[in-house]
Amino acid sequence: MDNEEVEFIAENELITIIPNFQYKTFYLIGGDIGPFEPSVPTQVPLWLAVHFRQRQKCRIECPSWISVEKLEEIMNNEKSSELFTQMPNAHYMEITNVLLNCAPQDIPRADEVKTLIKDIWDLRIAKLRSSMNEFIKSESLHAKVNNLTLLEINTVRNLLTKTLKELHNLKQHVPVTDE
Amino acid sequence: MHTVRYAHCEGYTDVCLAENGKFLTTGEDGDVRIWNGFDDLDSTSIRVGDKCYAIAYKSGKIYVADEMNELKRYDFETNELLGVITSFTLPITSIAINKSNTHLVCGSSDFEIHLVDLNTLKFTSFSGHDAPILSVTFDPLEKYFVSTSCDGTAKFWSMSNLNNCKTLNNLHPKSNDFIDSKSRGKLAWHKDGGLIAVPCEKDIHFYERETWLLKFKINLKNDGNPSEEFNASIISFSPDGKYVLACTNTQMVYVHSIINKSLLYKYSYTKKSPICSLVWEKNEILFCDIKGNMGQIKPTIKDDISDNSSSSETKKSSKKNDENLEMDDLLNLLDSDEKSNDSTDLKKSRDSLKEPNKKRKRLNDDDEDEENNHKNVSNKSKNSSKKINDDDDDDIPLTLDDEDENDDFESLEKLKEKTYNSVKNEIMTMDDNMSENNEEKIDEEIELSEKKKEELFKEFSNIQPAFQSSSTPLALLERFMCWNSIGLITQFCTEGDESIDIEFHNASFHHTIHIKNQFGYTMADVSKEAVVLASPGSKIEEELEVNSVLSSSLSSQSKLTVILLNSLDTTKEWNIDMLKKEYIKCVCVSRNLVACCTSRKFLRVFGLAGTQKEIIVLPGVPICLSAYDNCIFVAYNSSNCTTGYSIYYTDSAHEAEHGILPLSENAKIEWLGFSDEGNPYVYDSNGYLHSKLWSVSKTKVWSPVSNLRSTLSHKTDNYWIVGVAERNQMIKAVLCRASRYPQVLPRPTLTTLQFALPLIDADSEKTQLEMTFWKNQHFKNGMKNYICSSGNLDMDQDDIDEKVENFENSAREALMKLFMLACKSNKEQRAYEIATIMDLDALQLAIKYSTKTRALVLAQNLNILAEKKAEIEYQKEKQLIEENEKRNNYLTERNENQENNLSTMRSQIDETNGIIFEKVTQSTTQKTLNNSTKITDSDSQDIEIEETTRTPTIPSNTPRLNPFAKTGASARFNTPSNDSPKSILNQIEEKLTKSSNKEKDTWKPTPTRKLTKSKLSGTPGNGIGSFFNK
Repeated sequence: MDNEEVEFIAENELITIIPNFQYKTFYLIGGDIGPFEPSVPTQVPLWLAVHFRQRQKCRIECPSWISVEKLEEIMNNEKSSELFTQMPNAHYMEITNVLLNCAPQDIPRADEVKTLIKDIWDLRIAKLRSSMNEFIKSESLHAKVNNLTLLEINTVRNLLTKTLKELHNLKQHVPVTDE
Repeated sequence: MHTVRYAHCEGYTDVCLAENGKFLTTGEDGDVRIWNGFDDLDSTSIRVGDKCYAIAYKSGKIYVADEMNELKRYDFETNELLGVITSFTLPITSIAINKSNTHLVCGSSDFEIHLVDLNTLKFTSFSGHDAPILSVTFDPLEKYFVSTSCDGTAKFWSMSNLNNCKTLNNLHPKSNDFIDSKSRGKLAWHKDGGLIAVPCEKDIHFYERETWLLKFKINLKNDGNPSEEFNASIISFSPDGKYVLACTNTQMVYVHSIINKSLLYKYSYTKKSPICSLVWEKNEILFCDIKGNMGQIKPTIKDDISDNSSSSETKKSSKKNDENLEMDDLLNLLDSDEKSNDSTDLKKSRDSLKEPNKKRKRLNDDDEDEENNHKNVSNKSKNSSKKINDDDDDDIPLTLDDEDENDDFESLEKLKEKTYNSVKNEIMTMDDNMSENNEEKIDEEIELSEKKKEELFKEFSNIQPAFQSSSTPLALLERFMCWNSIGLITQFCTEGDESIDIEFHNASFHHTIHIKNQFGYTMADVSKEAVVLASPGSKIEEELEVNSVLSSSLSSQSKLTVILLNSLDTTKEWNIDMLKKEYIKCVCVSRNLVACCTSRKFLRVFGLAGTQKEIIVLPGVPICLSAYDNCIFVAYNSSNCTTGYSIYYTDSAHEAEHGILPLSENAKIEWLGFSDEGNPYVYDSNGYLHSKLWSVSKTKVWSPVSNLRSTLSHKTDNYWIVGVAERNQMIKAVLCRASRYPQVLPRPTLTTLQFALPLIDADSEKTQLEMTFWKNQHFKNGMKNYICSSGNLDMDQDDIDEKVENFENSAREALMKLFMLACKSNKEQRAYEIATIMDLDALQLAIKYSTKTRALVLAQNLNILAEKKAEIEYQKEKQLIEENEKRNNYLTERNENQENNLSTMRSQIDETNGIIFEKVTQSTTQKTLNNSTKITDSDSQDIEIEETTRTPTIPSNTPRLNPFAKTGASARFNTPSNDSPKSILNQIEEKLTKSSNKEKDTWKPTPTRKLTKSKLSGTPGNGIGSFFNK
């Protein structure tokens, strides 16, 4: 599984748009979407929102957690906490990324949001790396980490699992000298 | 004779007097300082908060407003916090306490005023201002209080009935924030309570108690720099009531005698920071400026209170000043004073109030008196031109709008030029002020001048001014002029760039229109066909037109502009000017018409392309207007202090409807308009949305649809209604947190609210089902009206049919569930009652259900009911068929005639087509013309087809089925939803068959059972079923 796939999954998240066209409800396997009334907020999957936005068919209503104040608060919590804190959305990174790419105009203070999201991401990845380091050094057999998002897990998954496997192999082949 | 010292850190600073010569100040450092005197080096400080905005003192208690937007009470002696009195959502800007220490009033930046009972700490909230409150002041007689606001208004409120009794407009330039305001708006009440001094631009205006009429005014002038722009900011009476002090935003302090209005003392504050608060105690004036400095002035008034020796400069006043004047004497004096200045034909007396009314009435009706006045003045000025300057005559020409006044004006001008160059400027500015002030009054008085005094005041207190639905206040720099289901219109008033943006929700419909607001439009509306803009017109501009060179470009009259969105030709816009002195109050536009209400109570209707159509005189002063297709819905203040409405159908398909608007108690209209389906709705300030949709005995009645306020979590939140759409079952609104209006930027988002009829016991299952039923009935009705009313639909007929069917099915389903609920709880009478509302199909199911649950008595009764209903329906249909036959006969005859006519017409059209074709073959415009004629051609065909097809389809539209045939019922309920009555019934049936099989044998064939059985399995031609086979 690579990051594109994670993003693909994230695009199924619902997001509010304000359409500037009129259209009937359409029925998809995933569920019914619409009806669309001009200026009336409607919930659609992110992929559809992006599609409409690119065709100038709607304005994207920014989710409430994509605001500088809220993100600053989240970052401060993350900084002060030893453990991982709960993110406002399980796909926070993917959603902001997609939105910042397709509709930066619809996000107030988009630049600051971008740096904040990046900071939070870096903070969490750094935390994850250090805890991994600790985990491997301590030679524990298992560890439990809460509140990780899919994308975060995915970034370390390949490395971590392979490393552990290699370590395991090495351990089996190196004779125990001490005892 | 002044000194300045540091009191607080930089920022807004307030000062108030305490007892024993002590006084209090507070500022942005959040401290309250108690000073023993101006020179006190060791003042006591009380820490209140981070910032303090206002302070007041009364009998040993200090009242301070802090940055938490709370009003706190402290003990003066111990400096202890005694508690919080009241709180707002934005900083409190002004506090006042009445003499007897029972009530406190305070105003805040959130536009609200609270009147707090100091014993119980209960408060009453007053809203009416459209901008932050600047100041509040109590009447010394404790009957009224007055508030001023950044929107340039002052409002007088009655403490007894909590009403707004009078509003003064345009006192100072509008501003958005209380800190930025050019004027502090601090007015003063004379200690006897009879006279109120109001700062108004460059004047002090004196109003009389109860009548709230302008008695006289004092002009402030800066001799050094006559052209300087300034505003009177703070007014204060001297403690003995003989002098009036005015402080301007240019740091000038003037002291005038109110007896002869002469300037006694002038002081210029050397620091460049405006004075923001001021108190006058004994012979010293204490003030604070916006930089936190505190100053003291000891005015050297020649006939000072301390030394009564009269000086040569103020001989006139000094004699009278020696006596301790009573208010009556004072006013008599004023009158006599005025009389001497006034033209001779205006005899005023203080006791008769009619006189000033009359005077102004004449002033409005025609300006002859004005002219006389004017001439007199000019004559007088010839004789004693010096006097004008001396006495600041307050009745120098108010308006100069009649053409034949030009001569007079010129003569006057010459004179003035000869005598004093500066006088001219002053008078001009005074005129401006005067007329601006009077504008509102004049409008109101066109309708009210005839009425007696009491009635007049009653009217004033209850009248709601005209407004546009879904618009935000005029005082804002960026505002919504209109927001409806088609688009939104925004007005920007930033200096140098006044513009209007017209945006459409549906981007494919029309591109955004951006226009320069050169005519000062303030009202707008948009429909699918056109945009209408209107300017209120103003007296000031009218004067300018006469006076100045600019005249031609500025329009004095109220102007109406319509921009067509789909025009046949290239002219997309037309303008029309209202008659002189007729001002537009509100406008609306629909797909078929443009309408506006004017100050003359006229409802003027125009065709979209500018044809003048109906002129209707409204029964009252218009408040709000809305249009849909050919209907116009207008609300007005009717004479008996209620709000009336009228619905006019300009296509004469219906009769006009009139009545009283169903507003809840003490409520004002917040929004009024048609739903997208064309049903009238009104939303009042208590949060109730009413619709006129339900029929009770053939007449439509108002009924509440929703109480939106009940869904709000916080008291200060509000919904700002934008529209209602029955087809989507929603109310479109903008949620405004802690305000009544949304801001333009960032663009607010709509909230869609559900209809929630105010039924009792909303949580119970029964009520919820009832709610579903009535809601769906409501939508169904709404849609039906829509189908009836609109010719060219913006929805497919299939969609509408589908929607209506959905609503019908949901309603039927809810009713069925209700019936079953009643049956389950053994309430057969209620079940029967529910059944009476059902239609025949549902009733059949109900009979089935009741027989299966063995509620046999009920089943029997239902059967009888069904028979009755079936008979009624049969009769109806019989009539219909008969009528149709008649009509068919008639129509076939007519069609034959028409066909003949049409064939001749067609040949004519063909001929003309041919001519046109010949004529315009070379030109490029040929296509369009040919198309247009083709359109008319096909139109006539359409009509013909419609008429012929429509009539026979009426019976087939309502397919009639034997209500007792099984197939009939199941055929009707072919809805896709799982919860349809059919499926529920099937489930129930399944269950029931299991249980009933056991007991079946024990059942004795009672007559009822027989009856039901025969009906249920009834073959056509049996029993009542035979009705339908005739």
